[in-house]
Amino acid sequence: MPLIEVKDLTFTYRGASQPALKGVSFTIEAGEFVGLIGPTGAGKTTLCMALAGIIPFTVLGKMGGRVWIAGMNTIEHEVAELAQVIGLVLQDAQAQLLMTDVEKEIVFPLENLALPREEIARRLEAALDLVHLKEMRRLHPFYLSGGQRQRVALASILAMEPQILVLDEATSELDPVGVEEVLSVVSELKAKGKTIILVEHNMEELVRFADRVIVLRAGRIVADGPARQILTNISLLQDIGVYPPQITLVGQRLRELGLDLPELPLTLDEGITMLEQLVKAHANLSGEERVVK
Amino acid sequence: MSLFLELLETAKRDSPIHRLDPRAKAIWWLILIICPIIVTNPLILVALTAWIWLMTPVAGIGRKMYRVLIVIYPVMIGFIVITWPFFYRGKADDFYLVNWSFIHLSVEGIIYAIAMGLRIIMALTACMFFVMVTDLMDLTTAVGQIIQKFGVSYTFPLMILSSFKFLPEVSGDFLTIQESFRSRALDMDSGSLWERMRKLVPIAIPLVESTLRHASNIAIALELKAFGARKNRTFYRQYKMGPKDVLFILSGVVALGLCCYLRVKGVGTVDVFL
Amino acid sequence: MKEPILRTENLYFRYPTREEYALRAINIEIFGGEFVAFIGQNGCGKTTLLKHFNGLLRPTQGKVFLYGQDTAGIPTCKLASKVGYVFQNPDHQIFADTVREEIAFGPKNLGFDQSHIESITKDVLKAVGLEEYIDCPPFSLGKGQRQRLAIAAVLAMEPDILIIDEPTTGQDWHESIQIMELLRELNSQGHTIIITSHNMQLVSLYARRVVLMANGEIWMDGTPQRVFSDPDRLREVYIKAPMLYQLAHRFCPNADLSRVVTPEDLADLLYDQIYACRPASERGAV
Repeated sequence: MPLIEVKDLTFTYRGASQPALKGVSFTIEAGEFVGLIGPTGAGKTTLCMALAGIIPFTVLGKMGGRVWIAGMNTIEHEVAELAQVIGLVLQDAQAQLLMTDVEKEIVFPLENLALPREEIARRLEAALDLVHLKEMRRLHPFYLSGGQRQRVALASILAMEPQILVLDEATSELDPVGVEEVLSVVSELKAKGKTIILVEHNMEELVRFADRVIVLRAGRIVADGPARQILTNISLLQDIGVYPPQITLVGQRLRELGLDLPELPLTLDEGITMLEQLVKAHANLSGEERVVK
Repeated sequence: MSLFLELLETAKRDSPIHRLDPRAKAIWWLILIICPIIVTNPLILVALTAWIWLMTPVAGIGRKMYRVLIVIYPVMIGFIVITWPFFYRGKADDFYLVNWSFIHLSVEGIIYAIAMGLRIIMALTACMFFVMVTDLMDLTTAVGQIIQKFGVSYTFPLMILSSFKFLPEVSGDFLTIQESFRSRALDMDSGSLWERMRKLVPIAIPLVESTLRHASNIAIALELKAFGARKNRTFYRQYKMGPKDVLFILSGVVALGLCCYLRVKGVGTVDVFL
Repeated sequence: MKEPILRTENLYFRYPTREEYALRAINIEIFGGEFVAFIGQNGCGKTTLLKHFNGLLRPTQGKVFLYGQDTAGIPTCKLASKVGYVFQNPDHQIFADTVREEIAFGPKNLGFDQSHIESITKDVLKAVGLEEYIDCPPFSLGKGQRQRLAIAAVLAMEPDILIIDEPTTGQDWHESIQIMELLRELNSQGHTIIITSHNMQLVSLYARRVVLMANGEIWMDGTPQRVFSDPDRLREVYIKAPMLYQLAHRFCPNADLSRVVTPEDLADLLYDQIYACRPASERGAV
């Protein structure tokens, strides 16, 4: 049984004339790392909130179709129940932090679940370790940087030990240092086998992790496949208004100029390897020293 | 705003007094606040205030308190001494310095005014001390644990905690909003009071918008963090009152007891000097 | 010799409640018509410096000159007619019931007459591509549109200098390009554009001058090509050059990097590099 199953999901916000999601269907197995991309207004945040159960009862509107998280129908379960299986981190770090220090923020959901104190203590330390914020435990979030705040938000959600983690543009308001801090935690989580859905605008960040990519536009899925297949499909990405990874564009142009590339590069490392090979190949071919202009 | 945050930070320091149970400190404070109501004898009030000051080195907050109160004390005394004499109902044998139409300034009146000022100063000192040694968040949590036993939901303490979290942010937003309006040529510093207040009206809207947005985000965040999942939530931080806490409360009780005794004995009020 | 329109003289700044200086010994000149991007880690002082240009902050020491005149004593509301400042979050300034009223606010405060305001409103809305929304409530617009509305509202005051704090944070590629193209257009019309940004790619595509700040001081100041060509210096202050520059630096170290603007440019440059290794007999075979 898949971990996440979405069938014909449709949703119209209360007071809106158009549905934000129109018949979305997909499944996700345990351990997958799925990137969710699409232009602004495509319905990515709506989809995330529907997965977490926030839609349709906290954020109101008309929902059609079904969402099952670990076999639980999201309409039949409280968000609090679902939160123990699927955790959601949103774009605005400030908005998700409720407590006056980091420690209180992380223990808050665990207290709400009425866990015994020893268990809370264990999970608190584990969460602080995971996001590398042990020294900041008694600080008010006002004194933290954007990246640190997002890590606190992450820790607070991870403390509930959900199987699935959904990150809705969690890094788009951060500076590069903050982005790196958050993504390195994501990387560790991936290594631990967590099921992760990452909504991203920046393809360079996404290519580092995604195994699979779902493309959303105007409330519908327009593509769903292996990350490599989708993110090197330059015409598709440009068509929906997403900027492809730059290194892929470089590869594409080199192909247009006549160079033989078996595969378009996706990450910077692949790009460097490709270029080094090209340089070597041509140097070998000509038998001449490489001429540096 | 920053002063407020500074005070909150002082409460997080470490000292024998900081380590006391927050509820003990709250009870001590409430008891102490009653003293200036019962007693108006300036000498007793000075003694009480001095006693609180003597505790500040133990708490390690002496310098901080000094910096704040050195401004407030003279302002308070000045204000009181100037206005209160006019409220004093004189007695026949008072020694008047000035007795002309509606201005009746007597020595007794001045002594009375000083006594009233000292009442406020003593109360202020106790409050400042309390705020600087007590982590109000811990206090709120501690009280929240108690009231849950009586079936009161944790929502109210939670509201207080969240307000303290969002306060600096909303205040920061307010400053930014002001700056953005200044940058659109809104002159907020000139004109009459009325005119200046009217100019603040457009500023209110983005501020209210941002507060409302915070509120709706809070609702979603609470859900995502399983608030309300269980009727009896557990608490990570435990608060237990020990012998030191009881002693601390007792010190307040003794102070109040002394005040009551002196009052009953007839030396508690300022009338002793009038 | 052209005079700078904005100049600081030995500027030091410290927030009253803090001990350390947020800005130290800043001496900078900005000339009319420039497109300058201030970059640097959060906390380096870039926004703090920009707020001195329209008087929101005043120097603790040193001076700020606007068109040769010391800004000391001139309130922000007066400087606003020359220096427009657009904040990062448009929702911190939007208040009116309609887009029209929102735009008219600044000009009204400056005392423009009604007919002038009406014609300006139409012009700036056209410039930002929001003419059809003129009577709509601002909050019905999307985030990218609200950002453009904020720029329009400041533009309506007809300042020569436009300062925009983080014009593209939180927006998707399409919206980001729209805004940067708008700024480029305004720059070509003669406005001096000053921005702060974390997006090195956009900075390298649009800015003609990059000022890198660190710890309250100016660390580097020059064209994007010059600033981004020194990865070691950048690394010292935790800044990474745009990816294209990194690749160009590695594979074509002696090339003219001003040619590298888009990924396609880099590919062309790399192609020439690799192609140059082929023996003459094989060239022209493509």
